[in-house]
Amino acid sequence: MTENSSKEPPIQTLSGMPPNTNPWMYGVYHQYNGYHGGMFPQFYNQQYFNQMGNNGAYQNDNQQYQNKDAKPGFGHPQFSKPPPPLLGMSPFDASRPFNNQSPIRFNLAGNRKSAPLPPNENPLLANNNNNNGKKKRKKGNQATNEAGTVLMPPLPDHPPPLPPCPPPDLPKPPPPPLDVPLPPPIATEDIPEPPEEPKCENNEKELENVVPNDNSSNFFNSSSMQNSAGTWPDSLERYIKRCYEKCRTHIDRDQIDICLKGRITAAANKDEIWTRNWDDEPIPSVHSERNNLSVKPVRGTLSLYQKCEAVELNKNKSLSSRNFNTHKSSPQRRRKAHSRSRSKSKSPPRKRHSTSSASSDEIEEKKSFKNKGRQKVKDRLSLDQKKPEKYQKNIKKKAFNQFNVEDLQGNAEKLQKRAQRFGNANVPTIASSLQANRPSEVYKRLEPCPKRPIIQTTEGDYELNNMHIVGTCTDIEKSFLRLTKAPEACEVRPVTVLRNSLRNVKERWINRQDYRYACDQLKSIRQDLTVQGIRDNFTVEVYETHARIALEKGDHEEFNQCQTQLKMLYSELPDCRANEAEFKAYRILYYIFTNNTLDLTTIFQFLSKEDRENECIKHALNTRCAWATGNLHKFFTLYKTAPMMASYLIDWFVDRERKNYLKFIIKSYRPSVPVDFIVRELAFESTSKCFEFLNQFPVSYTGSDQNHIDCKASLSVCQNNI
Amino acid sequence: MTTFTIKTYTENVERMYKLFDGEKLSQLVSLRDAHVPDWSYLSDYSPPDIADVVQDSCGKKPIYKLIVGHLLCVKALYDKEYLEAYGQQNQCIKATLMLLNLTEQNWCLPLLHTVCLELRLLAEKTEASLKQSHGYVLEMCSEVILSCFKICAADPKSDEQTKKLAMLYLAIQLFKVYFRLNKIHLHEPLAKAIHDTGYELWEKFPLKQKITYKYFLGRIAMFSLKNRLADELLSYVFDACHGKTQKKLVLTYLIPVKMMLGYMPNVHLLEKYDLLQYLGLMVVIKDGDLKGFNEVMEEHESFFISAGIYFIVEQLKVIAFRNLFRKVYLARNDSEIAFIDLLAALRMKGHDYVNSDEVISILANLISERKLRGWMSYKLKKLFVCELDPFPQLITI
Repeated sequence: MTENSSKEPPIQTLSGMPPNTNPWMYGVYHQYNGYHGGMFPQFYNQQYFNQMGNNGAYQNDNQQYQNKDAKPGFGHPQFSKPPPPLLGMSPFDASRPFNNQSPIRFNLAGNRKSAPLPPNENPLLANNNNNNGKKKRKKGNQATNEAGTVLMPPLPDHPPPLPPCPPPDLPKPPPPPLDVPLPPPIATEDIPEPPEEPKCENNEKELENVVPNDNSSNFFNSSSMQNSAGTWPDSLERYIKRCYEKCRTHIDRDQIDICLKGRITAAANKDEIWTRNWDDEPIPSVHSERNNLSVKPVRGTLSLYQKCEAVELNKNKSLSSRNFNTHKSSPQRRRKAHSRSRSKSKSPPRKRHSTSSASSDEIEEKKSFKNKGRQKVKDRLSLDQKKPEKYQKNIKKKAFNQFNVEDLQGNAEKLQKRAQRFGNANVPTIASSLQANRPSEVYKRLEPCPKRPIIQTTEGDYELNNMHIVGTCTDIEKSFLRLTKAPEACEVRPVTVLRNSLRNVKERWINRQDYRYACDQLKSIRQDLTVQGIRDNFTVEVYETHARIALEKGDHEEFNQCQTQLKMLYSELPDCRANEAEFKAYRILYYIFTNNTLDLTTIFQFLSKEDRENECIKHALNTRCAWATGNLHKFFTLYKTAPMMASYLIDWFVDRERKNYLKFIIKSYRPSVPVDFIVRELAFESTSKCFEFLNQFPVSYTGSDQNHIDCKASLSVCQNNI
Repeated sequence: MTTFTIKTYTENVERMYKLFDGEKLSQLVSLRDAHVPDWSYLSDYSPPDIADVVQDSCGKKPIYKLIVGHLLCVKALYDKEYLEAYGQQNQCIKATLMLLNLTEQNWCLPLLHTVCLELRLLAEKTEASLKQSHGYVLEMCSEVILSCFKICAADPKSDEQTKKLAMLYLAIQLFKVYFRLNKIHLHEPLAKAIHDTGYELWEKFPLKQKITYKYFLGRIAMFSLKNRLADELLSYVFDACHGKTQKKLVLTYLIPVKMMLGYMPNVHLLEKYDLLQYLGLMVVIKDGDLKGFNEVMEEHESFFISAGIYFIVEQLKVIAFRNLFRKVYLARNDSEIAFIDLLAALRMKGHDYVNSDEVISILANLISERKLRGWMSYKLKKLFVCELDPFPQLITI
């Protein structure tokens, strides 16, 4: 098979764009509304009213209707019928402009992502901006906290130790089982670690490393003895003095210490201690020196280096707080970073940058969380030089004006607090939702034990984090607004009100199909639920409703958020799994949409026997099978018979597959195929729709009334760039 | 006596640190080292006590945090507090990075390797011990290792002493985490960073790491359906690695890739490595027996799923179709084959529900992927195959 196999959707591979940003998705979407018009709105009614408790007679009606209509299915009667009334009212056409502008994507969330990520989201590199300021202040503050660390060369006096021994009469507990201490080789996918044989060159290298070390150890001891006896040459003493004079921070001193040791041992090894001209010996560069230098000439990679040094400083200073923070979930940090960069972009000189990068990142933005992850990783590795450079300029600027260290730190803390509080209100990623779930106990345990000065505040945070408010607001409608501070109880609606809100949204959706309104309202309902920590049947219902509406409107991002949440809600709440199978099926189809073989494998792995018997899941699996083995005829047959709302999901990638199949047909048929055949095979609901599709490509027609495709002449369709 | 042991240990570590002996140092802070099983008494101590004892004997030097982190990690393991242990191991990593930063040399890379490896193992252990963890400990772990990777990758030197030498090892650890988290797409920046370091550095990596790295790249290529690349990488790994279990592991992935490229495995090979699941598969594919194919897939489903290759193997169905059509062609001995004949053959081989449209669709797929040379006529309902080599070898496509 060639690399560019048919299984990979050409769209993605060719244009390099993520599938969901392709204009055709939206551009063509409205074309076959007639197609669904027949059955899906009915289905909605059923769904919604089902949940609203009206499901008695109505459902039956529906069922009949559906059966009557859907079975002959896709056949002609449906098409010849005038579109049902619901359709005229709004759905696809009305929403088109939205789709194009994609307002439903809620750019609030977008901003967060689109700003170029500064690498400070990294756990170990956090707070890298405060290099300069910190170092200076450190000298003063240091002593109280970690006096010991500073003075490496002369061994520090120890503070009076606590009695180290436990009371001797304490009975020893029985030794724990042997398997405890070492985490046994936990069923990892074992890598084939080749045995020792092939690494001979390696061994040699190690040997090389070892040998001088051994030597140096001897000499080191002896040389230190010499030192104490004062038997070093004067020039060397002077040299050492010179070196230490350069030190400004304890890190410098540590560094010099190590460098000197290395040099002196090396000299001793070669018996050059007395012969070398120490006065001319270059003085090793020190940490702070390098710091000053590095801002100018070196970009990219060095900035990283700097940062890690900065971390070190920070670590030395307030170890526990920082470390503690880094234990917390990535999403928080991510969010923190985002919000910070957002505030940056407010400053005029940055504005252009940020907007441009925002637009270029818009593509990324629409991707699912995985792709975000990729973006993130790329940034972190700073493989391209631009961003770090930009970022570095920022550092420089910042260091001297508005943001001094304190501000930044304060800001960061505030932001983080906020982030913690409103955990998963509106963040799409799995990660964020994880965070919401995270047992608080986990946080606590992750804390490093020894000495944490700010233990009080952090503990306080936890409690805040776990404490959910109960709202008092009684508005049925409330617009979604991203929280920027702790919510007031009067702004949050309790569940009773939210139930009414949801009913209102559903009714309005059925009557008016205003997606912008529905999405806005549902998001605010979700937010209120999150803020109050409500995770129950009702939460599931809200997410299901939102997922379905987003599904219908092709809002990938919202759908993905909802289905991710649902996945977790289902696993937490065994009582609310009524619709689990349906959403599992959607998830399978969603992975086909994102071409994610590995995720498909994983989800397949966890399907039970009953799951596979389920109508929806079965359909999804069959679709997957047909899709993967190139049986596109079957794929389109399944598309036509999709249960529930699955065909909306297939809509997201049906054009990709149509294009594929069209290419197959043009490549394999000679001399021509009738357009009717295409209409049938590619599951178009009418010839005109089919022509609309075909006219995107340089297809040539033949035959008496131009109703055949001339395959040979149309071969250019198969060129890769179409 | 226990205080004494901690003290000795501390002194030991400190000495190794002063000797720049990364290997020994890494052994001393390894959770899998022989010293750990003797340390059950650590449970009696409270964390501040341990810290104090260490401080007594070595002061607050950079190495201090490493030692305390390690001791507390072991203690937490004895207490079965895996999350706590993970947190402490995290401290060890930070301490290691600090040590790494203090020197221009790379002697403490073995230490970094060990702490990162064990952080990953601990994260996996922690995941297993938590209910409903959803992989977030692993996620954090991947971020920590990634930051180590970044730090090493950012070393401007490229001589013998460069810290870049840790990149490959860390990348492998990250791959393992990504495979666990189902996020292998995150491998791209890592692979690019390693690729960008250039040939010279690549030559300096230990062979063993290079092999493992290629193994992962091969698997990733397989999942992205890049069969040729996967074949190249995995074949190399198969040749380079030793030991039956390792070879078997590689073969599990290499065989389906090879089959996609038209090479069927030798029976002896399958017997030798106890991979007879592929034997049945091979027979039905050769035979074009689609019913049998489905049966084999069902029979060995759990094996294929646990290896994560169910859907990869499933694609061999296309080859089975091709072989069946080839048989029809040989039986007919004619370059014109009616669709009806193909359909009959398909029905005979067990696809009862298949209809002629599906046959055409499969044919179209085969032809456009050039697995079958010829064309179809819509009007005549016939398949015309090329006179010359209508079923080219799959490898040549």
